[in-house]
Amino acid sequence: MRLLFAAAVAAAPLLLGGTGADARPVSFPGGITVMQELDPMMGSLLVHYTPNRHYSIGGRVQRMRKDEWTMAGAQATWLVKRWNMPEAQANLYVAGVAGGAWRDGETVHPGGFVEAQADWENRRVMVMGMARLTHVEGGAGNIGTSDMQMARFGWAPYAGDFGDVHLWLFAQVRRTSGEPDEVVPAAVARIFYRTMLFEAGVTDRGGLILNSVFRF
Amino acid sequence: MKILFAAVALATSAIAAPALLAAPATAITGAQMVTVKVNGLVCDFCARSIEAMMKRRSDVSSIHIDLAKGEVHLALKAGAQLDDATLTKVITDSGYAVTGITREPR
Repeated sequence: MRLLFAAAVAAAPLLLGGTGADARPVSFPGGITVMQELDPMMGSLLVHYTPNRHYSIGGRVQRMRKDEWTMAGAQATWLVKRWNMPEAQANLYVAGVAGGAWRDGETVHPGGFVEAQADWENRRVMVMGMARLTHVEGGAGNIGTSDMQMARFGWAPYAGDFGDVHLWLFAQVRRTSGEPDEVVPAAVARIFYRTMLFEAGVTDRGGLILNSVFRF
Repeated sequence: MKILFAAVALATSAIAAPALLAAPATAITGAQMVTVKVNGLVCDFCARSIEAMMKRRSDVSSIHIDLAKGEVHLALKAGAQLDDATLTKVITDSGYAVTGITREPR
């Protein structure tokens, strides 16, 4: 019942039209992508390879900084559906990680997460959201079962052309189960040039957000 | 008189140069120009997938993407054959939807 509730909570932002944390988790055929995230709650590194336009496979390491545990495993991401419109694009992704998780100095337990994310964007406006359900077998507390949701609304001050430096400004809300400050708003700036993307932001508690994506 | 003409020409070049440098990089020269109308082309970061896929091909000499118009501009190498079906497949594999292809001889 608790799992069912967590799944329902995790899916809620998607039903409301939210989306995901990772910018473009599926690349072009043969493309390799390195994605890094850092915020007060966690840090992660994902390296993935895209065999075809429908999915990517890779490895993820994720450190829960606040709760002091780590997860590592293989990640598969499926682009369920892409809507290519004349002046906009929307995507729906589902991802899963299977691997192991451990508290510092303790044994490794089987664990992973399932995640869904969606986005819609045109050249000036972007809406993103994601929901993630994490489970670690035999774990307890925050390393047992948890869920997280994030939603973003982005605005580009100018519509950059191909080859320009692009800037996006995001308002972000993130909720993590079991945390005293469950809902954390943040402001994030994204800048990208060609295939390099950087994000820097700050939460309402002054926590730093630093993300980057490199595509090869 | 010749010196005066040369000086005027030099001055004109100096004035025109910044404007030429600032011109958008849409002017692609090649044996054949191909314009592909594409749906979903809204993001430079993502459109790089089309560039990466095209750069693997030996028949494409250069590429430019016009995000405002939703167009991919290709210059094919002299004598290159890149038919519509292949072109559509490459762009579809890049994650986009082709809505039209036009070709111009140089």
